[in-house]
Amino acid sequence: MAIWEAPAAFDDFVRSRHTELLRFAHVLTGDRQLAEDLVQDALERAGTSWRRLRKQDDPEGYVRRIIVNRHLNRLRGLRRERLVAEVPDRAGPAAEPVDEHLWHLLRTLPPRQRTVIVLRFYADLSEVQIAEAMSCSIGTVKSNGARAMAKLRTAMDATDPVRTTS
Amino acid sequence: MTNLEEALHRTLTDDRHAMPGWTDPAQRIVAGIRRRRRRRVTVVAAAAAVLAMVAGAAVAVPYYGLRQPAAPPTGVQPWVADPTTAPQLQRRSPREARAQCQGPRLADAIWTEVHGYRTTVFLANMSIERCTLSQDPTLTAAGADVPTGRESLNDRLKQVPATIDPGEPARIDIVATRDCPDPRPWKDLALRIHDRSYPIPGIGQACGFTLSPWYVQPPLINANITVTMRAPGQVRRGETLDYTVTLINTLSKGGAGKLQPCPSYRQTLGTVSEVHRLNCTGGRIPLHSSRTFAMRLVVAPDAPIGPVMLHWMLMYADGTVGIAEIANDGVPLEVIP
Repeated sequence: MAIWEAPAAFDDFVRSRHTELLRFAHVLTGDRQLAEDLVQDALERAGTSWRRLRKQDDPEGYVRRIIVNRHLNRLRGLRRERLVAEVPDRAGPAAEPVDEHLWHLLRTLPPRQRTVIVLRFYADLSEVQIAEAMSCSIGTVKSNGARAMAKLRTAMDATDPVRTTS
Repeated sequence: MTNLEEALHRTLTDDRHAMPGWTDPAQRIVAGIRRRRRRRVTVVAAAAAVLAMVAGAAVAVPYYGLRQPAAPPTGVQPWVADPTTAPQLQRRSPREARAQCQGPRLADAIWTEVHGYRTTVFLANMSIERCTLSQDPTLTAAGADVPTGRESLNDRLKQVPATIDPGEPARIDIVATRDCPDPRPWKDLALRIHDRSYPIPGIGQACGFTLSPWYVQPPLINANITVTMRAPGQVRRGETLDYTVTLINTLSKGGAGKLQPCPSYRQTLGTVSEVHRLNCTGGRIPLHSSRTFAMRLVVAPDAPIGPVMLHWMLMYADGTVGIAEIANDGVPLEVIP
């Protein structure tokens, strides 16, 4: 069996983008270990299909779609979300104050609703792009996003009505 | 953008959620890809091994596993016209001479076969011991001795002296000579052996007679194969006789069932006798299995009307044979106009 050698372009892609992909997966899942597993799996899949991926313009978008779908499929298989109580232990120089309470509320959302929120407010994707990334309809994206926002707003109002009023 | 939307954006993009990069990310991913490929090859190899085992079992079970009576034939090997020459056939080696076959040891009756001027007389050993019949008999007519000539035996298939096993016959040939201008009938021809007289029927007019010594025709050596034959009861003159022969491998010794080198066979119907090579395309006949071969023979246009025996004999290269329907030496047919 011939030993698989990574194309130079794939090598560069992994070195330059894996940190950003890890962060995206962490925001998506709320779990550092799970984020590493998802990124590892997605990059391995991308590597075996790299020749085909290079013909497309957005290999990173392809890898993110793998991460999203593998995450949702995994959760669908487990039929529950594994929530981790630990808070991020790496303190960084936040430019603005971070709402720790909101981070915890995000973890209580159902996976699809949380995914829509992350893709919308972290990855800045449009509803069309979110639908494509999640392999679902735009209507599903809208309904999941609306439900998620309503839950978050209700929860925020219940704890600190002043902060979330527009 | 509402306060909630701004808060979501700020929270999700906060650097506190960033994760430390891997030490050597490219090597880590490459190692994972290689591990996947090894796993895939292992799975494919295992699946191929399972398939090979299943296929091997499918072949081996009919070959080794069936310790049962021969299965019925599933197909018939087509007949192929492939004339050839018969191999040198093995026969039982000559037996050493034993004590003389005395009168009480011999059968009470003889039987004969007439081939033109030659009449072959068969006399069996009815004792329980092997004995030798070497004393020349006396030919008589109406109780009186008939002078006879002596016929020499040049046929290598005739072994002298005639040492015969219990039940086995010795043979003697009586040849009627017609080299005189006026052959005459002979009354009550008989052979006198020791003190017993055996009538000889079927001999017509003759000038005189020659006698051979007693001899035995040693039997052929049978191969470890059983041969059966199926043929229609009637066949017309000049038409093609289609019949089948089945070889059954019932013994595991002596290369039974081997069809390499491909054996030949002799088929005989009346005066028609042909030797062909068997259609061996099916390979070896597995133990306790059989194979049926289609056979074809053109009946002579002038074949005598009436009953006739169809003979078939398989002949291996080493000279051993398999005779079809050996108990009857063939199957009876009737030639019709």
